[in-house]
Amino acid sequence: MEVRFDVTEHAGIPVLATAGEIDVYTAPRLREELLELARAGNATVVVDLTDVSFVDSTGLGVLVSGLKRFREAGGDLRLVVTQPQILKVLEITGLSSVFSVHETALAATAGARS
Amino acid sequence: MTRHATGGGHSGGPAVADEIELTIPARAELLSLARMTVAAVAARADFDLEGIEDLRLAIDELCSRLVRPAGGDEAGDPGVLRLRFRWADGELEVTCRLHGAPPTPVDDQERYLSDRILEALVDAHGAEEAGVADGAGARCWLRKRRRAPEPA
Repeated sequence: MEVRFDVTEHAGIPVLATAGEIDVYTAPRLREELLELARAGNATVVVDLTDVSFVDSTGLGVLVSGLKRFREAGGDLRLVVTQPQILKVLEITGLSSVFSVHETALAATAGARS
Repeated sequence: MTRHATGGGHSGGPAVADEIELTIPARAELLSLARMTVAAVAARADFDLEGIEDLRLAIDELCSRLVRPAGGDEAGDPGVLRLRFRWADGELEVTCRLHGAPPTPVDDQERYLSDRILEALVDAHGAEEAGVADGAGARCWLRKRRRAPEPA
């Protein structure tokens, strides 16, 4: 199962659009994409999970590690989530109150500073 | 994949157990096969869409503990995963057994998230990390009951 990434920019904030399934096999690629965005000097990033059909604890672990890194640098890692199953996983793990979760990339980038 | 069935038809009469086995190399890239199989089995056992999605995630969490992560530095044969799916009378049970050396345990953060997910999505689950008498390695299992239909 493949995962695909595409980086665009909204209001000066990088948006990492992710598509496919994030599991123990593909999560390392998400980690690399986030590291690359951090190394490029971005303080805040948005990870758009609109086209992600599956996330497990490995994928969530990568997102939490990324969140810590960006917040320690004074920024943030925000999520765009619309899939009910992924919203449910964020809810049952308590992460829906840890991440800033939005319905669109536009809403996620509003007011953010890179 | 092998299929065993005991008893007769799917509806009516006493509870009938159906059973399917799936054997795959214990490699991360093949876990999608376990997810696809549990989805097909759960659909056959009349789970609703939410129950099927719950089982896809639960089986992934169960098996992820027994496979080596992609890009890891652990050398050697990853071993074989044997999954048994057994359903009867509205309940699905999945047993996952690793034949081979166990991988390095996942970190505490991921284990915490995985435990929360399993506790929320299935009715019961468990694991035996140590080897068992017949020479097989670690074993995990879960059980989930089909949600009762909404009253008319």
